[in-house]
Amino acid sequence: MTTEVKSQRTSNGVAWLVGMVVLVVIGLIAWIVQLSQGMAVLGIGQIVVWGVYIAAFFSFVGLASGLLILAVLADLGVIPGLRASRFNMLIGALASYVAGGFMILMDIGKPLRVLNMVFDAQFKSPFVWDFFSLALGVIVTIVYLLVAPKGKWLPIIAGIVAGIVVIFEGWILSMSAGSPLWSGGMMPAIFLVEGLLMALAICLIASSNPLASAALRTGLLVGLPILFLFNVFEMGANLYAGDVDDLFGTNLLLSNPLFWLMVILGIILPFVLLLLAGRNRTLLVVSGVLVVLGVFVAKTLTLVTGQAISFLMGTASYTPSFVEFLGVIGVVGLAGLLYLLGTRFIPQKKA
Amino acid sequence: MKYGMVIDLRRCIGCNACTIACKQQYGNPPGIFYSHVGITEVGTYPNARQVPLPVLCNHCDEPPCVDVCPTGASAKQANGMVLIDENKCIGCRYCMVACPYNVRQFIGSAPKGYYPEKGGLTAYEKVAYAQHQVGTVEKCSFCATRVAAGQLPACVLTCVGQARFFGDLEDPNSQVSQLIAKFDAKPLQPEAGTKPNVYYIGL
Repeated sequence: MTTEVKSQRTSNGVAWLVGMVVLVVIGLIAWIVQLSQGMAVLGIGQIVVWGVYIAAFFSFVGLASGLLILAVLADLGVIPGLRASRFNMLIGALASYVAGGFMILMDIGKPLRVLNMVFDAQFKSPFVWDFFSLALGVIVTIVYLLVAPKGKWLPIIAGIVAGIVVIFEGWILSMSAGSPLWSGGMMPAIFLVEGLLMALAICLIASSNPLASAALRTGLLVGLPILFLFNVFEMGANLYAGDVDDLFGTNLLLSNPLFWLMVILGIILPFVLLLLAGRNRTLLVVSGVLVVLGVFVAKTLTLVTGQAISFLMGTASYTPSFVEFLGVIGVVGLAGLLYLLGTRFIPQKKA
Repeated sequence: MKYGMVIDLRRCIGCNACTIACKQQYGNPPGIFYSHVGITEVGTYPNARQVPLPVLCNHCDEPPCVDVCPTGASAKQANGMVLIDENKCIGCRYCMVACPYNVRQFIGSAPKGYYPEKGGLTAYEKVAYAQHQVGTVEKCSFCATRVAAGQLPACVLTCVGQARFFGDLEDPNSQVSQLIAKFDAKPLQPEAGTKPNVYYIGL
């Protein structure tokens, strides 16, 4: 009986591994097409220049920081039942940080020049802060993974670094003079909540521990209204006291049916399902999936709408291309593959 | 020394000669415009009307594109020009996102040319497009090389209505300084806080 269960788990593991490798190969082919034909194969233009690659980058890094913060909270005993998953959360964080970095590499026009960010770094740029904080996030996650934390200092430092990384992500948008929709100052807070929500949702999808699931469910039930309120604060300020650009941008977002679909399917529906779910595993998993997709769509909409308002109040459109879509799928596969390999080959330290 | 430009909208007829002169000067591929003519509305109803609005890089004193550039590829020069070192540019396009005027252009792919039906690039296009680095951002340089050689920017030289003026904004006796003072010329979107150095008469 035990041998059968073990064999079933092994074959499941191999199936996941093969699935992720297939996704990575698909993404690799898409990237090769992009490199050979140029970035004209993407959906971006001269006005909307950041699309789903950047939205995916923000999502991966937010998820990574969220997972790192959850691991810290588990180590500090704040979230009951989650400590047993700290190893998996940290591997997930590491895989997600790497995937985020890869997403940027795919998005820049001259990927071979990425080291210019180190050798010619201009420290006034939020991009450079983000680059170095992301590198620091990776290092801290590795240290936290390999060194069993005995005191409280290492978890606290790791938590602070995770927070800084995701706040810098928000600053990339909110410190941009060209896009009024992002300038309200709430963006770093929204990014932090979104990252935590994604991490809670992913852990909820993967969790088989009822105690941990209950804590994660509570976290999502608290976090979703907070995210909703933060967005209301941002948009409310723009609508009430914003200048012409702020008003134009916010109205553009509010008039997009996708935005309302995201609010209903990504925030309200998972909230209701979580309220009703109790210990119903299917409902919990569905809620988790909706939250992850909802956050990704929300990031894409905010990112694209902020750029879509061109100078002289025109609007530009953006539709992700097939190649772009496959590129993102490939990096999702890369994150999954790194997670599977990490949980298999990295030695687990007992906390 | 701080170079700047004054555009007299009362003289601009919206002919786009400046757009074409710029494209010819730099051999810009299809879809790439360092300078173009948009349309804006002036006045208030019922005395409102549409006027052509030539737009180019404002070479701002507080350029957000320079601040956000992660590699220093975009830099403010001592003479006021904001220039891009294409050999440093990594193509992240953060400068394009940060620019309130949407005047930066990304060369995403190898240019296809204006006459693909003729089997590729023309001889002119082959030479001109070789100057553009795929994967980098470009923009108006106030014709830095022409100005260094004592010439006017191509758009100023070609303007059929003589609506464009170029010179030193720090010299109170220069034509541009006097025009700004005399006609109360204004920059675009001063509320963006970028302190542009392109001024408009009749805005």
